[in-house]
Amino acid sequence: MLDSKLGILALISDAGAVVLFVLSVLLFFSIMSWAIIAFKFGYIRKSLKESNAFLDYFFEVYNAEKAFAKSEEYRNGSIPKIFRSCYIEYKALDGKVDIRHARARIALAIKREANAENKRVASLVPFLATVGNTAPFIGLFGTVWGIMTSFHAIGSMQSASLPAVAPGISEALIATAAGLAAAIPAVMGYNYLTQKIALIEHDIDLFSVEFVELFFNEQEVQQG
Amino acid sequence: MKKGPVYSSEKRFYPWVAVATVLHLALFALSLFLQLLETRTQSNPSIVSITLVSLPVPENVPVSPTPSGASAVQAVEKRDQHAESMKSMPKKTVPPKIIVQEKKLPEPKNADQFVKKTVTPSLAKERPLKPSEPVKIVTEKLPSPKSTEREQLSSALERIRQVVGKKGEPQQATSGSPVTKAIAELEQKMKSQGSSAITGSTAERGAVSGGLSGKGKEIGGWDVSLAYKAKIASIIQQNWELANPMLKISSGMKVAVRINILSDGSINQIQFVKKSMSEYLNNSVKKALERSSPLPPLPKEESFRGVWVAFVFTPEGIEK
Repeated sequence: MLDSKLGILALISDAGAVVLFVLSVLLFFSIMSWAIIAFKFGYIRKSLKESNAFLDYFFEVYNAEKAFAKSEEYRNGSIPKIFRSCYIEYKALDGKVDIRHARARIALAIKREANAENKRVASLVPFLATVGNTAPFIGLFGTVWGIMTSFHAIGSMQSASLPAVAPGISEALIATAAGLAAAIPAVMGYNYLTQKIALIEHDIDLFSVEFVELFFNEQEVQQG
Repeated sequence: MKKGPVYSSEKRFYPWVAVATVLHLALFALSLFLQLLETRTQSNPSIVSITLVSLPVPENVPVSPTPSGASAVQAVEKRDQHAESMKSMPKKTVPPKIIVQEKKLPEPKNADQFVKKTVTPSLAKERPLKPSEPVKIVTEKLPSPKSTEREQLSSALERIRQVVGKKGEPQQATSGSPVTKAIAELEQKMKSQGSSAITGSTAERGAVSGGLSGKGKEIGGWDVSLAYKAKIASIIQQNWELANPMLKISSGMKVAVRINILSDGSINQIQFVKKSMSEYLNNSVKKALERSSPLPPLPKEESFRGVWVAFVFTPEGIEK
């Protein structure tokens, strides 16, 4: 049924071992890239959505207790996560240390959680950059190897006619095509995700200070 | 504490790997399917209808020997052939075959048939038959090849005479050599056939004009019965294969061919009157005709000589 007329199958079946290896590597890269793009797209979208919703609520009530209760609803948002860790640290102190010491400890807890969140958000994304950068070269390697072997075969055939030259080159070029097919979505996904991740990181940096201020304003209000 | 969420996020990542794998497989299967679909659509030949028409007698293409003066064009061609053969082989005697054949050719029989033969309305629209127009063409063009033919033949005879005269100078005294006798005979034939040719051509003028006006007789090369034409058209149609994509491209294209059918039904000669731009279409027509040979033997009234039949191959109708 699927005879030699079907170009893709024919090209793959006639390809050499190295080209096949290159193709399988590129296929793996492509599958992983697509999976990362899909996974990260959902993750970051949800994180941004929940962070925005939490921030709206936070500025509306401007109360640590209420904000903490609300943050339990946003388990995927980066900013609610950081706020929770900050609140837990604040509660752990429970007035045992002076304000300056408490401020430093809370700031440290926020920094720690922000770092963890940045890592979480940015995880797997560098793989897209790797695929985007290396896949064309891997494909090119497969092509060069394929052309090398096909020219060797042509030399042994002692014929330089088009029917002798063209099939080998055509088979070899499929590796470059596969490399580009793997790299293009990876590069596009990487650019989109890094932009969104930068947005999240910026939000974390901005609102970490805001959180600390909220806790100590409250403490001062309570003491005053 | 730290590893928990990371682990859970990794866990949530694995289904996406499976989804991506499935997507890749689906994409690969889709591309294979599309290729398969493409090859299938290409390999399925469609039924193609042949539009059967009688072409008007072309001016620059040789036609079969007919009562209409064997058609001016053929006469010119044969004259050229003879002239060439005369040049290359001056010692041989010149058989004035054209004129002899013309004498043997019968007068056209059915004048009405010619009028009926303009089957396709499309072509009829393209070239409407005005009663006066074709008559003019025939009457003006037919006699000229005759006269040139005779001139050619007489000049060829003159050349033969010169050559023979040079070679046979010692024998001239005897004056009874077979070569000179043959030349004398040929001269006599020329005279007699020349006059008959002229009368023949005048007769043909009447025949053609009558044929075109629907009252006279038919042009000889085209008087194959319509039933026979339909029969061979269906045979050729069955043997004509044309791929679907070609039909899309070749819309509006026409291939007009004339075939010379011998008495036993075999196709002696295929001439392209009008070729289409597509070489593939031209080839397909040629192959169809080659496949169709031999055709059924000619009807009895036509069997003594070969006939020329014209076809127009049009892939139209398939698109609609």
